[in-house]
Amino acid sequence: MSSTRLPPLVTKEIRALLPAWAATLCAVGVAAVSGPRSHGLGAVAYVIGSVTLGSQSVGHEYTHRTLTLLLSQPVERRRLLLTKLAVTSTLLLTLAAFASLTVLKPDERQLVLGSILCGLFLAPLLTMVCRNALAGPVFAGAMPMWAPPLSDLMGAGVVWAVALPAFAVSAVASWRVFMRLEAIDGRGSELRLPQLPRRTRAIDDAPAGARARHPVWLLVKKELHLQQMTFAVAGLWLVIWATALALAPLVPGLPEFPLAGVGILYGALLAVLIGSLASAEERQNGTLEWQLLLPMAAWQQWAIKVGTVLTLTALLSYAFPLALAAGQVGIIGWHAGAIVMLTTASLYISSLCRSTVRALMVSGAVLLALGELGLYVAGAFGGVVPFVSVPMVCILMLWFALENHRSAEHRPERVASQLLWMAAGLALGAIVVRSIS
Amino acid sequence: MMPISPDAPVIDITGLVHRYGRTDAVNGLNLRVQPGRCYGFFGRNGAGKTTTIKCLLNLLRPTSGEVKVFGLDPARHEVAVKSRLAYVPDHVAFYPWMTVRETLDYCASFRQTWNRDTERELLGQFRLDLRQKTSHLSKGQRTQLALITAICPEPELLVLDEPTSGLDPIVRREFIQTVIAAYQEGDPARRTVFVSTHLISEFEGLIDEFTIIEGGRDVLTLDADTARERYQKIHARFSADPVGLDLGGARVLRRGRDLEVLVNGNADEVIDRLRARSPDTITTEALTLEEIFVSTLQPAEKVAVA
Repeated sequence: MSSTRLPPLVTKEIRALLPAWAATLCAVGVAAVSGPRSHGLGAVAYVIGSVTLGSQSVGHEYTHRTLTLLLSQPVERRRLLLTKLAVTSTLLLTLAAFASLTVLKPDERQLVLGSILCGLFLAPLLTMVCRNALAGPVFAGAMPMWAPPLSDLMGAGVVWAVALPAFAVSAVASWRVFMRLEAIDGRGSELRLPQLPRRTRAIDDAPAGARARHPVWLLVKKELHLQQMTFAVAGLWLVIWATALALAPLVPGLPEFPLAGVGILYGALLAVLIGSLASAEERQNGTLEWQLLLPMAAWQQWAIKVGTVLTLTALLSYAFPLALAAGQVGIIGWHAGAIVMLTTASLYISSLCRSTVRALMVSGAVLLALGELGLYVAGAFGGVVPFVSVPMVCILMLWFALENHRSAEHRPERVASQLLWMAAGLALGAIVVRSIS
Repeated sequence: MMPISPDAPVIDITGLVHRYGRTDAVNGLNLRVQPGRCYGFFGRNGAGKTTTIKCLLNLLRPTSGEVKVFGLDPARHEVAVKSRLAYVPDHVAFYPWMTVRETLDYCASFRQTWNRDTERELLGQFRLDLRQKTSHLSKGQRTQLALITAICPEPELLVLDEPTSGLDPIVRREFIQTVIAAYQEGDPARRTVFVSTHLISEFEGLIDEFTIIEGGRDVLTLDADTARERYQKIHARFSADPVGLDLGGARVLRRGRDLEVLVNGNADEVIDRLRARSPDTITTEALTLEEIFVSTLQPAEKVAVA
């Protein structure tokens, strides 16, 4: 009997991309079964999922530190890359077919082409250039979503006349980069942002005692350093905003473009990124254990982490987009609550994950499902339950996340009990509301 | 596939420079390894050993200089070079979802030769469970698995970067004595081992030739036998403190009336000078490779402190 087994290299690629593919499929599926109201969210999940999938085709080698293993095998790099492209494009096409049949409207089909091209060429290129599995989804994730509004604004022909050559360039560049890819030690998570000029050499060379800073300040600095990707995204948003303002007098229709609304969505995604980075990034860097062994109580370290994360969220996910919107969008209570909820939930998920990309993927899928649930509950109970239950669930999540963060292993039974407690919190809120009403 | 000259050195490095940003990891290294040798590549932490090895494997691109493996440029003839070698990195990583069995099959799929008998033998020797996921293996077990994946294809060149780190003493000894030695004995004229290690003493009997690297440059390259002849330790005991003894700049360790002198090629001259002071006893012994390493890299004044 002849064997029909796939070559191990192909099987490995499929297995590596399976989590991103399955998470995207689930997220789109949840949006599809929730009805037309959620189809927009499903489209967002599809786009981000596709770009993440493409990014993971190379990114998983960085996450698992297996780039040296892969590149030291006696096989042509061309074959390695072609295998990766073949597997990625097949999975991207299945996602595209599923999304087109379920959540995408006929006029949103250009999202499909944009997502596939971004996933195949741009996301892997960014991943290799930044040596960071997160760079692809974070920097290229939103790109296809700009296609429909920009097409409305400038015409689809203009948009694609710019986009297609850009994708062609990124295809050539990603080929060239992979052919010359170097297995540099470490995960390559360091996204180097411009740094302030260093202090004088005399201070750097001084003994540790002379350089001593307050540990709380050093912990805050460490937390901010973990969030370099967040700052990069915030900077990118600022550039987009400034470009839009500069072009407004020149491009007819641009002033009517709902950039402020997009800014709100950007803030929500940034909140998820901030939460996802907070705990998983440390675990992925391998610094968590010795960090927790420092002579400072784990809960104090955690409090500093949570404080920094929430402050950063308040500034970059809430205040920053509102400030840029300059009065176009008013301060909305539920918006602030949702931002805190998103950060807290992604921080909880991050405390259970060994890599930031995984935390981001799981957070995206889970939060979409929770969003649907929230809308359903709000509909059933007149929108009051979230306001009663959410703060309680947020506190529970932060408490449980501390437990997960400082634990070396994540037993399923513990996670199950945590989820039960959270469900109980939500149910309690519902009972309180019902008894009052 | 490119024709490869049988007389070509297995590894030939000339003026290799590799920079990470503004840091010179390797700075003008020269090295030549002949077939059938067990070649030691010694250096302190950050000396540039791993960077050099990665340049050999086209995992890093040299900033300047020339690297040839089997007479070929590893960047231009990547597959031809990698087909004939195997590499065990200092930090071993496997795909976490694969079992030991799947990892072995995965690596075997890239190779034309895979010795299943050796695989079975080594699996038994290392007591690895084929059904276990690689994510559940300890650091030492991951290294053992990496060694199996490196030896089973029976490569002509085995490149080992700190291969015994993380192994327990029994497995470490077994690995060096049995695995490496047996690998070379399989075809002594062709099989070459290039090993970078801190545990020099453990490879003492295996190393034929070595290079000591410091600050990215080769500071000493010697045949192991020549090294043992040149580098000697002379013990001399005197009845009285030999005040004013001139040993021509040799490294001297004083313990009361006992002197320990480390010599580099001038043993006869030093012995003559010691004998002129009528010692009670005088003995000589060859330095181990580790002692040669230390005496080459450690400043003389530190050694001489009694």
